Amino acid sequence: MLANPLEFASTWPAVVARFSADAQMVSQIKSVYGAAPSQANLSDALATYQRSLPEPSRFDRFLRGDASAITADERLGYEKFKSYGCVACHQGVNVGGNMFQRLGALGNYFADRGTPETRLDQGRFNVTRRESDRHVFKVPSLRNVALTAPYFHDGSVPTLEAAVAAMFKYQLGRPAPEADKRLIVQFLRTLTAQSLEKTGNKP
Amino acid sequence: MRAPRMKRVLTWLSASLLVMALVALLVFLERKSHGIVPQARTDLIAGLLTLREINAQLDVDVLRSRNGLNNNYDPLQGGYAAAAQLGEKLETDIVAAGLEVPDALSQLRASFEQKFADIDDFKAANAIRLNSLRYLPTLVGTLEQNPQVSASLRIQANRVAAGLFRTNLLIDADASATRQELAEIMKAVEGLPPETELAQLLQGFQTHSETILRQSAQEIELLATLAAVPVSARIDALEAVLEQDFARREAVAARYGNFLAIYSGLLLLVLFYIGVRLVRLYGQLARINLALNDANEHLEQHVEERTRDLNNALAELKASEAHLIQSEKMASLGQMVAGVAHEINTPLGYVHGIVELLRDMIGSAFTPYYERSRALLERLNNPESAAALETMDASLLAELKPALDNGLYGLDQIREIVLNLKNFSRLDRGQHTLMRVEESIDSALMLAKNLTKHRKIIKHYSDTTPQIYCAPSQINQVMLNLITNAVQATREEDGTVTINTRMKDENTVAVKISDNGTGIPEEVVGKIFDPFFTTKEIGKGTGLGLSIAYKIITQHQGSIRVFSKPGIGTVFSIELPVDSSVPQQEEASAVPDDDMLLLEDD
Ligand code: HEC
Ligand SMILES: Nc1ncnc2c1ncn2[C@@H]1O[C@H](COP(=O)(O)OP(=O)(O)OP(=O)(O)O)[C@@H](O)[C@H]1O
Ligand SMILES: [Mg+2]
Repeated sequence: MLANPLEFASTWPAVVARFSADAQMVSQIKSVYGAAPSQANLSDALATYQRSLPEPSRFDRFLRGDASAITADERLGYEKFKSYGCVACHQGVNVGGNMFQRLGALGNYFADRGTPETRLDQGRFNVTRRESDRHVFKVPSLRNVALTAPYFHDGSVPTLEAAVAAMFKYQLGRPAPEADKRLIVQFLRTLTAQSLEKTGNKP
Repeated sequence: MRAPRMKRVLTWLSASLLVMALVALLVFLERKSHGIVPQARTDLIAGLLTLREINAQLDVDVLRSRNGLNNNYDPLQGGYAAAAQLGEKLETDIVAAGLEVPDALSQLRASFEQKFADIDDFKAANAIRLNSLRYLPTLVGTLEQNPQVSASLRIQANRVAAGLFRTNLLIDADASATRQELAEIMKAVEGLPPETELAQLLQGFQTHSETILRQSAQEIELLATLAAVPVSARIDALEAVLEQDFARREAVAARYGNFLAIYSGLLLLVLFYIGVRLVRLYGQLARINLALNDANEHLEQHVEERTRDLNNALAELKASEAHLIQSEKMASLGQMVAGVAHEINTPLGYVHGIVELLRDMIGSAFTPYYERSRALLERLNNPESAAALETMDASLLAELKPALDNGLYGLDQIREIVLNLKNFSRLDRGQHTLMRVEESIDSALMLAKNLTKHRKIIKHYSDTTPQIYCAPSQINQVMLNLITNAVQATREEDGTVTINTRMKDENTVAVKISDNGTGIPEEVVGKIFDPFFTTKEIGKGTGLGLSIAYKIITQHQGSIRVFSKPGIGTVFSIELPVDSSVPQQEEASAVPDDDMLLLEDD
């Protein structure tokens, strides 16, 4: 792709030469591939990088400056998502996935749920055996969340609306108007990768 | 056959093993004498430095998160990845530098893991606290707007909120007052029915306030734990260990470097020695080669020379043998001839004397008888008989005298021949006496008389040639052979043999025997002096004549040469020193120009 003259106006030898000229690049590539920059290891590095990037969604386009990528309501939902503090946990590039949190940080989720606790419900405790890690889960990334129902670690929450409502109650510990919740749900739908959007089951 | 090959193979094998061992030792020492590759060392130190930076950045990011200055925890997350990656890179770098991976590294990585775990906990606490803290103003605002809320409660709620915000700004802020005030607010809730809006509001206020206090405390605790994670110390420890390893490695390398220097010095000496020996060997080889080449080149020449020498020796041997035989033959022939001549000489003397006597006596001895007969007849008076006696007497005398004279002439001739025979075969062969060459030529001509009968013999004798000191019989032999050859080469009809004598100079007599015969073809002229070379029929010629002549003349310090033109004639030229007892200069005999003229004249 780098070598495609239409895209980058470059050729592999030129690319390899450019990388080889940068001492820091060379040492980084060496540390990973154990060899000097070459077409083989550079193209591998490029592929890896591309894989690590989330597939772009409408929201990503919005963030990059395309104001028309999302609707006014969806944008409002984004503002609510931020101002209510969902973003404290669902954050970063992947809108989540970079920390662990107790399910029920501000309320007793499992007591209110009414069903007996399972091993699965113990979360990270199963791994660390630390009492403080009981009911602690990795905050999931909300990318493509509209497509991944049912929700939560045990798939006990059938709809996005219910998941968002639970989040308000147990993770934020605050009430919110139904309208705001709907807006947030609308926003969450903008996180679906565009390549999946057509096939996705839009409710 | 087999054993030497085995031995050679073994020698080769052990030699190459030795060389391989020497080289291996060299390579080993060379490897060992390398210190840490400077690049590896700087890489390691740089890696450690980066780890320190990452560690410091983590601390900074933790504090920024604590105060809500970071938007999200991605920087912390990135720090994890970078540190983990660096930890692995450090390990490969250490291995690449040829060092053992020290425990300090795994300890360092463990401490990082610990730190990451603590940071995870911190993030969890921090996120919730910040959310609650952010919600707090909203909560207070809602409380203030509620008509059921008393002024004092409002003030209390505001004070609690302020206290909570202080805890956010100052880590070590004392939260006990805030806690007390919160407890007092909550006492007011106790009286309220839980379903009322105010009760729920206050309940939320309490929950969030407590959450903030709890999480804040936890955060502070975690900050302390984090600070206690000995990442920095572990990095120091690792660096110290590595520095120690570097130093040790350098020391070892230096020691091996010394070994290497000594070893390569020794190897160089050995190589130098081998080189010198090789050069010497090559020198020898080159010399031998040169000699061999030379020998090779000259071998043929040598062989040729040898062959020529041998041939010459053989020819000489044959010649001298033939010469000996001829001499012996001649000697015995001479003896016989001399004996016969002697034997003949004595009776010849009688016969000669008698015939002479007879001739002389015819007149006087017969006269008395004649007179007496005539007187008798006259007495008898027989005039007829007397007259007859007279005529008889006259005719008898007239016939008898010339006959006797002829007889005497013949006897004289016989005497001459016998004399010549005696002369020719003188028993003094080896003995040298004085003799004129003309004498020798004459005796030869004499002996060859029968042969020369039908040839014209022209003699041009010099008057001034002195007697020369020589072996006469030998010189005779030479002359006889040359004359014989000349006669044999010419035809009866017009054969002419010319013999010249002259003084070449005061010490040299020159004889030239020329003929107008067949001449000698150019291709054989070089061989005629060889013994046994003859063109004549078997039985007629032995091919010895000229070779003996050559031998004799050279023995007399003289020279014999031939000039010939086929179809015109041949000249044999002999030069003899007057006194052959005095050594002569060999080359005194240059070809006289008149030889050829002479041939042309004929
Ligand atoms: C204190 C941290 C925290 C906050 C704040 C928070 N969440 Fe969550 N969220 C979680 C955790 C933890 C889970 C995973 C629960 C599980 O797997 O059982 C989760 C799960 C979800 C899910 C379900 C995802 C799935 O695939 O199962 C959705 C949707 C979601 N959150 C949306 C929100 C919204 C919208 C907000 C804001 C109103 C929010 N969350 C606020 C921690 C939080
Ligand atoms: N005057 C001459 N003219 C031509 N040929 C000659 C003359 N003298 C010698 N030769 C050649 O040289 C040869 C050698 O001579 P040489 O006297 O040695 O031997 P020969 O006469 O053949 O034999 P031999 O003398 O024993 O009877 C002769 O056979 C003849 O061919
Ligand atoms: Mg002869």
